[in-house]
Amino acid sequence: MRTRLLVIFFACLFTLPFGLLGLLAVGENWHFPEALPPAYSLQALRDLLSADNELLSGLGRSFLLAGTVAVAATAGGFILARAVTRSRWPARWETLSYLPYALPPVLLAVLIQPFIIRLHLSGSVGGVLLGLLLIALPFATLLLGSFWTRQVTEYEQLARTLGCTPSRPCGRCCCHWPGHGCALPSCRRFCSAGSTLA
Amino acid sequence: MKKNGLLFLAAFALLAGCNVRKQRESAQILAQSWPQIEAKGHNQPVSMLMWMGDPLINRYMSTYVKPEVKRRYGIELQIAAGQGAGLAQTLAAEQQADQPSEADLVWINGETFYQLRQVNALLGPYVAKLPNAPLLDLQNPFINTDFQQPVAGMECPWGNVQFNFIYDSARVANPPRSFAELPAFVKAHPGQFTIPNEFTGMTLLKSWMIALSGDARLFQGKFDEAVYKKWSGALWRQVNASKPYFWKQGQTFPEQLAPLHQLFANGEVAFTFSNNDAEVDNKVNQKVFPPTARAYVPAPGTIQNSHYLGIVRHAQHPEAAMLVVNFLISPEAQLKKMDPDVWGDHTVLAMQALTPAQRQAFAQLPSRRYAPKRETIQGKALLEPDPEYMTRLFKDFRTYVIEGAPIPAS
Amino acid sequence: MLLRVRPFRLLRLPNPLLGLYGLLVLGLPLAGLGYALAGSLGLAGPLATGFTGHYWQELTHDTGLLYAALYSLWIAVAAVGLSVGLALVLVLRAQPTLRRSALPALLYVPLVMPSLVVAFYLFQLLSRAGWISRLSFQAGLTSSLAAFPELVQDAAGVGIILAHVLLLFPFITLLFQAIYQESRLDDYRQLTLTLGASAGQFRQRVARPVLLRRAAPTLLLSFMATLGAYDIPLLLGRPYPQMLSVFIATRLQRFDLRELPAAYLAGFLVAISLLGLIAGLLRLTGQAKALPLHTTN
Repeated sequence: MRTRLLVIFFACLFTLPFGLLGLLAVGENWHFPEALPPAYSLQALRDLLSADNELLSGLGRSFLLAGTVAVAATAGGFILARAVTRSRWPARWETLSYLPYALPPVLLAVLIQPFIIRLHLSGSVGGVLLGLLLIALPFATLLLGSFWTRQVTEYEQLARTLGCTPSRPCGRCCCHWPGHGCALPSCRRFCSAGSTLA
Repeated sequence: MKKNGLLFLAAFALLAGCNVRKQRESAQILAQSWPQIEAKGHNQPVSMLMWMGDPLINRYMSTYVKPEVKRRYGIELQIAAGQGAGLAQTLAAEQQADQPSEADLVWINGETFYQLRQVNALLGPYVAKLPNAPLLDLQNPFINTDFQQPVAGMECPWGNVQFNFIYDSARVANPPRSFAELPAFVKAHPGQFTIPNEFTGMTLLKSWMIALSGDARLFQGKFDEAVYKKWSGALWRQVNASKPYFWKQGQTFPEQLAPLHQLFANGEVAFTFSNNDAEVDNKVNQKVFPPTARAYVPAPGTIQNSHYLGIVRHAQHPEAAMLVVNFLISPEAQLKKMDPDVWGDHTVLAMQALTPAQRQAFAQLPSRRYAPKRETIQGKALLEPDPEYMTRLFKDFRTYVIEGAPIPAS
Repeated sequence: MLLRVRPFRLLRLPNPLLGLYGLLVLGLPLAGLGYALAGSLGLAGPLATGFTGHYWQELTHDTGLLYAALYSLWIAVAAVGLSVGLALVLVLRAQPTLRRSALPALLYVPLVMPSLVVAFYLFQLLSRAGWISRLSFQAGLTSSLAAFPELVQDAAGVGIILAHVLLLFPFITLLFQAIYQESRLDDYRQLTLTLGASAGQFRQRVARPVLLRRAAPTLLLSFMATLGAYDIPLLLGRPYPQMLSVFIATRLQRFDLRELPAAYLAGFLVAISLLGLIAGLLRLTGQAKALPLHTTN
């Protein structure tokens, strides 16, 4: 019973935004104190989806960028986290990984803009990718850092002793961390913060 | 070890300096004849930065201007958002790096024009090169002067607008007809009025300050510290006296115009404002505002100004940008733009310079239904003062009204 | 901690991958910080006038930055604290629900919503002319717009905190749940119960410390992200006091380019303070990590 109530509560909490925003999209002349729109129209949606509108291509580009960054950051973070754990100063590298977060994205975007311009990356996909990676890669590195415990290293060494190549222990054993699914959505969260950089 | 050090050094060198693409001199570009410009501009992309806060304006650009310049010149017009100080900073950073600009064409006016001229980021004078330039109403002081700075061919007029109050006639039967009546009205109708803390709100404050002074001529010419101190002090005292009767007791102000429009549409406040005297018509047509919304200009008047098109000095496609500007000031594009169902702002063309057929087309445009006719408000138009008045008002509005610091005696 | 890093020693790192990584996370932010410092001293920026200490001297008269910092701290502590609290309650008290029902899938839903959309949604839901106010008016609970309580653009930042909680707590719940399963906390639960501990003792002495310590880096990042948030406070906050990002952005976007050095100075000070805060918090979490844990892997 409690389970069902909890699920219903969260279902309402998380679907209400879609309901209200949907009503706002199709409602016309909807003013206080009316609880529901007096009239409905699909004109706004039609305008949005019209052939001349760039929304769909923008959405496609966003998905492509977000996907590339999420995959690159997760894979890169996985490898970097291992390199950090095995470096001479893991604690220092961990601290350094927090540096991009000391600058709020709005500030970071303005301050690195002159350098992005000098790198000929201004207004290009490369510039946006670099900006997004600057936020997503350290995040993935920090998040996945907790995975490279002594135990995992021992598993990896054991796998190698049993004849695995250096790449195989990672692929076959280590990737099966139950929490790895968290990396993608979490990268997305920080990517959205990084969208300011675009 | 050595390899990593070199890697760092190489990358930092890349960050610090870098190769520079060869720039063409402005004089070289402007020395070309129009046929040469046309030939060079054909089939080029043009990157335009503009304010993109209004769906109707965006629609005019994407569904009319873009296909037209593509059809006529093969130009691929790419539009992105960019304005104000952010735009000036980007162009200045490109200038400092001596890089070709990512932007070719920019929608600017007032303080942005002033800033871009300060950092020498504009190509020009270029307006006289345009075949449609003789059609422009450049005798009109509301068009040939931008915030007290002569346009001097460095930016091309694109449209002309006048600040106005928008109110809901279903809720307010008798809105204040003058700035003098405003404080008493606000006191009698608490919670219905607020000032947006952005460009349009600053235009309201400028008009209010000029009204308080009783002499608009005081604000012409260069910025005058004494005039500003005297009349801004009077303005802050009047605004602060009314503040407890503003929306949310004046404890907060909308940071953008769109949320104020939203508050108005929702019925939370009875007034909103626009720098475009025809905006009420297109907002009612879009069913964003109630059909009972009306616009007017309070006495003694409000600021009328123009907006312009500038070409970036280090633009990669300056010739194509000139072709686009020339199209945007063509009678055809201006006629379309002036339609209240499309954009609705006033044309910058001189009617006497047009053919009788073109004049007739302008006269036959659908009439404004909710906004005042241009002829009725032209007598209440005030010239824009020097940009410094706005920068100071913006800063002081925050200090003396939002943060509530004591107003110094003027 | 961070300030004591000696960059020349980093150059001796054996791994070129780490060198590139260092360049990314160190190079660009430090270059940005250097630019901000130079800008605040009149040495960089569009209208740089040459060296001046004027903007640093002016700083003593400006309390806005301090208010913005305090206000941001309050919002970040409240939002992250509430989110962590909610997530802990869910993970520690509703484990069967999280394992067997559709709840985990539901928790992914808010992750697809951009922060600006969440802010706009809450504005439409909670403002005085918003949907809840309309329902309450229709139900006769309130008699006018003004009778509805101020839930957005309010002095305490309730709207901003709610928006952040709505975005953060599902994410933290998913993270805690992943750690809970990966750390085999259920097995430890059985063990502690067998050894005579109560369920409450397991939650307080075993599960909570494990979850918080393992999630510490992500929680710290969430805290920093909330501290530096822009979209949500822009829409749901007031012009005064402002959160840090809005405060800096307002200064950067002012109509007067001559004010840019003051904005660079504010940005520089914010970044340096946040660096100090990160270093302090990392030292704290580092000390916590060094403590013996009741449940080690």
